[in-house]
Amino acid sequence: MPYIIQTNKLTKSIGGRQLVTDISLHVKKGEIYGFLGPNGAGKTTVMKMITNLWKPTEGTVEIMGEQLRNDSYGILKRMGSIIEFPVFYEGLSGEDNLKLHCEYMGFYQKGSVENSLKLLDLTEAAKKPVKEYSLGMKQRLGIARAILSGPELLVLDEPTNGLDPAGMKQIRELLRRLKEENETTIFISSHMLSEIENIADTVGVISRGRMQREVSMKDIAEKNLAFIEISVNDVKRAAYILADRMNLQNFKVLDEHKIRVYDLSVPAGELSKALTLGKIEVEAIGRQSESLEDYFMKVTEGGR
Amino acid sequence: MDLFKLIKLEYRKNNIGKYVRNAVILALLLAAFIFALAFLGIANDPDGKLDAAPGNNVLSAPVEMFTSMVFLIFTSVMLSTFIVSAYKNKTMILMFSYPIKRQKILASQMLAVWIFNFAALTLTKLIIYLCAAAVAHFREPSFLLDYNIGSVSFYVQMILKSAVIVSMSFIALFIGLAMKSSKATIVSSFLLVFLTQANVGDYTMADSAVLPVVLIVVSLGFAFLSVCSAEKKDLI
Repeated sequence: MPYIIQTNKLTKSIGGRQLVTDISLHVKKGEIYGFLGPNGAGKTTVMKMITNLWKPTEGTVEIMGEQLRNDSYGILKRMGSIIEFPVFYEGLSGEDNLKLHCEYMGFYQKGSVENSLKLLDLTEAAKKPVKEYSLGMKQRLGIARAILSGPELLVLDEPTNGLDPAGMKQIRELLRRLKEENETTIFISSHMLSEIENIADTVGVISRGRMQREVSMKDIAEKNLAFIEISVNDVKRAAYILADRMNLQNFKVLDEHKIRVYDLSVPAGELSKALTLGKIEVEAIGRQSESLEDYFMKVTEGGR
Repeated sequence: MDLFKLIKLEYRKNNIGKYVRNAVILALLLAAFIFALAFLGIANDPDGKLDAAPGNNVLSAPVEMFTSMVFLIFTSVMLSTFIVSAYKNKTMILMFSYPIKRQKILASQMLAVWIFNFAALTLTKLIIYLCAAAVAHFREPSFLLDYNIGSVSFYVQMILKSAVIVSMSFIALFIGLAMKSSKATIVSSFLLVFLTQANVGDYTMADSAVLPVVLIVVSLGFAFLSVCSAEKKDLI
């Protein structure tokens, strides 16, 4: 079973309007997959199809090796989800809502409700009716419910909406722990990179209903972001030396003094030596990195 | 998961105690009203004679009419909170994310309401009929007591009529679901009441045996269709 979630050219249109087009994404077992995109890009649409609430117009969804069909119900037992925003029976207490969830999931493990409430700091509010909860508390109760039955796959649609920074951090820690301790696969959407960059193993970027890129965070850090910036007195000649004598292609002339080399196979010392040998004054040289934010802005802009 | 358990969970979720209380209040009000009609003469003309349409001077006429009216509307109100609101406030998204066939979920919600109201309507009528028969020993009723509490056919008829009335509310449910509106559900139930219970002059459809049968066939047909299509349709 190569992927826990795999979609193949997933397309959804409603009333002639195409919401998402040709979405192919791949979520590996036991990873946290950040599904990133601006509001209205189609994240929720994709998540609804992954949880079988919506049926694709074209394309297919495979969950844990099983292609979703109209009657794929069994697979839902192994998933926990929040789609759009968590909904509850508002008149019932938080605890009763979780107990109902256990009944419907067919999950009876003593202490699981209490444990889940404790994990999300809701023990004190457990007996209060949900209609008295704040937005942040509802969001936490939603997460408590999603993780309650120990699912193999969590599908969380913007789960930190309405939480304060401390709350967000707490959720991130929790998700990381679920991944490490229970090997839960987590598919989490967000419109803010900063929210998921620290926990995601892979990031899929969607913009205007199309998948822009799917990259592993490790790869970004290693390949795309880091560069060596060199300040010289004569960029033209320096560029000539880099291209001709050192056989480098992956560099960019920034302005009249600066060059960025993205090919990190050549150590900075060697670059400096080669340039000096070519009678070029190297004023400064150093390894730097572009911020992830810039990188993703570039990727999402690319879709426009 | 078995259907019976799903029905029980529906009751738990929707706070059935509230409905039990309301149904009891309605039953008491209905009983008091029928008692006033039959024994206190509030439907009588000043000369003391009953003012009723021909053929309606029997006690079963007002009992059937008023209990049916009230419980048809009550059933629709319950259907709208159990099902129509579940679509509107998106708890249906939650229900459809469980490993349970969608058809089964819908069927359990409809059955939960049906069973409750069938029981409530039948009990209400039973109590009213039995009380009226008992009181008639001591006091002359304005209406003819046209039933025999000793005969089986009386009970069979009462049960069948209750089933027809409660099932009819499914028509209101489908109108409400189609329009995604709780109000439409309840307004439709009023229209059903007028259609089936009201009389224009001496003309009424309440006694027609064909109309309820047609309505039941139509409503069960709709029920079947909408339950079956739930699996293929997007949940919006």
